[in-house]
Amino acid sequence: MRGALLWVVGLLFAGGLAAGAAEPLIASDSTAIDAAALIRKIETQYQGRSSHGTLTMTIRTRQWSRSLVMEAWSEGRDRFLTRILDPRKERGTCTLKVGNDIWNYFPRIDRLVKIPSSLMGDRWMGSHLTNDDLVKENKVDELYELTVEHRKGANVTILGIPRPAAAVVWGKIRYEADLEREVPVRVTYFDEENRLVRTMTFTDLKRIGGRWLPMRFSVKPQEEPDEETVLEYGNLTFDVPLEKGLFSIQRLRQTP
Amino acid sequence: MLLRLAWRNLWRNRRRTQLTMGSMVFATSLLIFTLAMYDGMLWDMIENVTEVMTGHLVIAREGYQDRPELHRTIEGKAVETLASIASEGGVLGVCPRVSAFALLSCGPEGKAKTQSGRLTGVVPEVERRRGRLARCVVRGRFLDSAAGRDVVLGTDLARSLGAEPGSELIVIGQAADGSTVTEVLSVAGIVDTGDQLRDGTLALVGLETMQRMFVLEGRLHTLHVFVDRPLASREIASALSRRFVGCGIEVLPWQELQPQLAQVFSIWLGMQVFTMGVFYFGIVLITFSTMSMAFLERIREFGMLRAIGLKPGQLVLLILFEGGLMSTLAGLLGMMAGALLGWGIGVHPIDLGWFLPAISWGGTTVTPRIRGVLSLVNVAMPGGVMMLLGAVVALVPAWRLFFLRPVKALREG
Repeated sequence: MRGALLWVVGLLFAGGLAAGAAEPLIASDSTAIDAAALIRKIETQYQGRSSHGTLTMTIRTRQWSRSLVMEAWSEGRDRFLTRILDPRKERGTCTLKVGNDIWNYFPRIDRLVKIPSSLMGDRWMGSHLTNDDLVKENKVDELYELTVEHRKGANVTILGIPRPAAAVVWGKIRYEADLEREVPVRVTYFDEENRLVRTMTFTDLKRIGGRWLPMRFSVKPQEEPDEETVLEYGNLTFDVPLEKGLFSIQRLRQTP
Repeated sequence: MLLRLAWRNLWRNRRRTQLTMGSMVFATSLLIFTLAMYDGMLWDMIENVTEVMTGHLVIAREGYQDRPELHRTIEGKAVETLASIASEGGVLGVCPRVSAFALLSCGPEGKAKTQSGRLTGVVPEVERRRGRLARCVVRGRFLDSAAGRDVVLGTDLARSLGAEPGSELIVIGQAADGSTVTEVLSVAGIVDTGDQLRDGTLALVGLETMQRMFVLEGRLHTLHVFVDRPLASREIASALSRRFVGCGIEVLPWQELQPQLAQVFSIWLGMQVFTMGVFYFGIVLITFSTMSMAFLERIREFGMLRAIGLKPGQLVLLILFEGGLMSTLAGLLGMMAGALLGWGIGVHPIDLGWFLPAISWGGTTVTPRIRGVLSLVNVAMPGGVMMLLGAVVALVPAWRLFFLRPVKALREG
């Protein structure tokens, strides 16, 4: 499930579009869908060499609301870097992901802090995303047994039940996708007692490089209906040449 | 005259009286000592909860205790009104505090250890005056000022962060307005509050520093009230609650904050009553058998007394006086001896820490030591019951004197 989330974050962070035509997911004369192949395709079609763009994250809680404008770079799926541009007070604060590790750099105190694995479940930048959401690979097809639950026209609903050995916190996920544009529409997350925990919605589709991309996604926790985190992408460019060593902790202090 | 006669009778067979009284004194003093020990252990547990951190009452925004969220604060006039409680009779002190969870990191970059902790903003001067928190420092020193950049860590937290006095501690969190908190503090000292769970997350900071860091200026999360009668905390809490009806503020006594401990307290009382029951049963048996033996030994004497004209009622009264005098004396001596023993282990508790570790349980700590706490009830009751018991137990053999036939008694004796 988090793979799905990462996919969205990955859209920004993880990369450029893969070249080449996609394999057909459904035979034109059949309603049979390979659920795992579909999700794998959706989640990996944005992999590329590199990407660069801006991201506006608006967090709304019962007590406060705030917007963060960030610049982001990515290389493959394992490396990404974000730097806060606004608000001014937090300008220069960076998050670096390399593999499964996350570092934060805080220019105000000139300190670099690595997030320990025990705290990966904590909120990222106060949003409704966790650090764990950022580092989890797009492995929905590996972590879950996927079956098509429902299909109506181009809309398909896929049910994901964690495989026995999968280290995931969810009891199940429901993944709704648009088959025609090959994009996710909504992903819902349930706990082990089958209670809805959060809903992720993907909107504002934009055609970039021959692929449809949702430019906006929101995370809404079920328990707090007034709360929401919305991420909007802007100025996305793929396969951009990136400076060597950009994704190193040594460079965090020097990030422009 | 009968009383004087009873007194003389007691000392006619000195050894017998001494033996009976000795067992009475021993039982009374042992019971007082045991109850003092029970109370000592119980008060250790209560004080480990109340005196170190919680206080006897906690005043907070409604719901804060269940969900200690940053925004659930007491603010504005309510802060001043509540702080004025400190000057009321029976209140020993009020400690204002602010708490927040944050990421704490210590050590050189790249090798730093990071974990979450609960930062608590306190006013050092107030904490020094009240409670034991400031006295729990095991290394370094306590906080100097409410606005300083010092931090004092719990032992277990310090250990897992690899922090020592003088280390630099990085705090990363989220302020009440959503902004990111980043701060560098200096570790001034390390405290051992006796509760491993608490010491695993405890980080004390000056109140003003904390309010500034988390954008909580002029706001408080909790006020910890210390009173002179901890056992009356429930009553004091409901009296205070009535004053703040409609303000969205709740006053909770330690019994509600630590319901497990309050339950232990109830069980403890039951155990004390049971222990007393067992002791008294033993005393009754000993006294009864001693008195019955004495009664049988003295049957000829009773026959003689009846023969020379003492009425059965007078004879029964004489025996009751004897029993009563003996038990009164034994009760008084037992009370003195028991109180002395209890006071002794109160002043000089027996430390068992060298072979027994402290146990964190039910939100408190069971200190491995034998300590005595005397209370009027626990001294007066065993003594008082002993005094009554002597006369009551004497009543059983004495009752037979009503039916004593002098000739038969003289012949049997």
